[in-house]
Amino acid sequence: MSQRRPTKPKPARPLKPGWRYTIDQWGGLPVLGSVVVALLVVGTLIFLNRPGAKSDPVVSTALEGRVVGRLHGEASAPVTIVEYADFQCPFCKKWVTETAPALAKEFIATGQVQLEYRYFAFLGEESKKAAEAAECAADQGRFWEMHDVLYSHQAAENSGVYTPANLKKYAAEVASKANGFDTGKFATCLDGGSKRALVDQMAAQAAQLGVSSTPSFLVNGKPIVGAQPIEVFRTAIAAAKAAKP
Amino acid sequence: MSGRRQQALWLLIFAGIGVAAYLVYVALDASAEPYCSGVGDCHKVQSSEYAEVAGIPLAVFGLLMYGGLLALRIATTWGPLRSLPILRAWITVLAGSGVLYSVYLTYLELEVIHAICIYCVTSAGIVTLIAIVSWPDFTAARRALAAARSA
Repeated sequence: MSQRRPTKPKPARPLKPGWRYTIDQWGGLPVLGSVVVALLVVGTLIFLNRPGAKSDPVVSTALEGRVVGRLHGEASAPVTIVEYADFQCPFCKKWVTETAPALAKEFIATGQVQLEYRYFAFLGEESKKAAEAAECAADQGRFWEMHDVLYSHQAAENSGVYTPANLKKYAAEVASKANGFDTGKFATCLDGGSKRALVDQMAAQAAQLGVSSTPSFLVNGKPIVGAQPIEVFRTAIAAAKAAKP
Repeated sequence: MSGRRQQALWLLIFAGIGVAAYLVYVALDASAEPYCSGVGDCHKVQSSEYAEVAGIPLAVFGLLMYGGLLALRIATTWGPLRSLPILRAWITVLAGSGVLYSVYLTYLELEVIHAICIYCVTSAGIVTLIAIVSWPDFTAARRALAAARSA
């Protein structure tokens, strides 16, 4: 600054304090401009990543990301069946014990159907907790093992069967059948409650689709309601295959 | 411009690139589980909905930032533009924006995801150190530009 020649009649810029002076002191627009650009970029990234910003896409990304653990069958299967169920619902258990084995043998094992399980936990707190437990098991690739154990313990609704303490016992059952299942990790996951959001989102999404009872199924998008016998599914699967171009 | 400070900048930038590159690798390779060494829950953080923006893993943004820092570092050390003060200022500005975003991400980890990813925290620490270590360069660059403007 001291290099200013005294012969110069006027300084190029006012040197008394003022916004222009302050800007110059900070190195002028190149510096301040880059600071502003940096702040804008950071602000945009925060805005795009704010909690709740992805509430709609979350449903789909959460489903897509997590769904792997709740799939049964080959992705190339021409027919997809989405099952909406509640671990506390007696008819869901009835379907699992009476129809699911035949479906697995005839259609899933033969690569014709891929089954996807979705939580529609609407029968109270224990339904949600059981679904969270299944999802925590899914994190370790043991959804179906937990699914079977959960249904095997089903009793009267909200009678204390699916309390966190019991769910951890069921996890031990899963561990006894499945090598490498980490019950400590499972307990941390369950107690952390991080799966509640996904369970609630799935219920909300199912309700939006018009699911009002369990079990409900979508066979390539076409609904089947209730614990229907295998014949009903045979017909629906045949129709779904015929409808495919 | 102490030589030791300049060396530290190089080191920090390369360390940051290493950590960010590892996070990118974990984010892009679905079969790679982050090696967590028992601290925190990298998997939970990396698989959370906050781990990407517009389908791009945040680790990629981190790597781009460190890449930008390296490019500026190279440009201010060698080549025809090395004496441009604004390039030195940009190192701090870029690192500073990294610090701001890291603060936000650490808040997400603690308050929203309830899990800590040790590599993300390491990266936050590295970028904070870069911002601090490069601060004298920023002040010098700012002064040089201010002097040039009022001359």
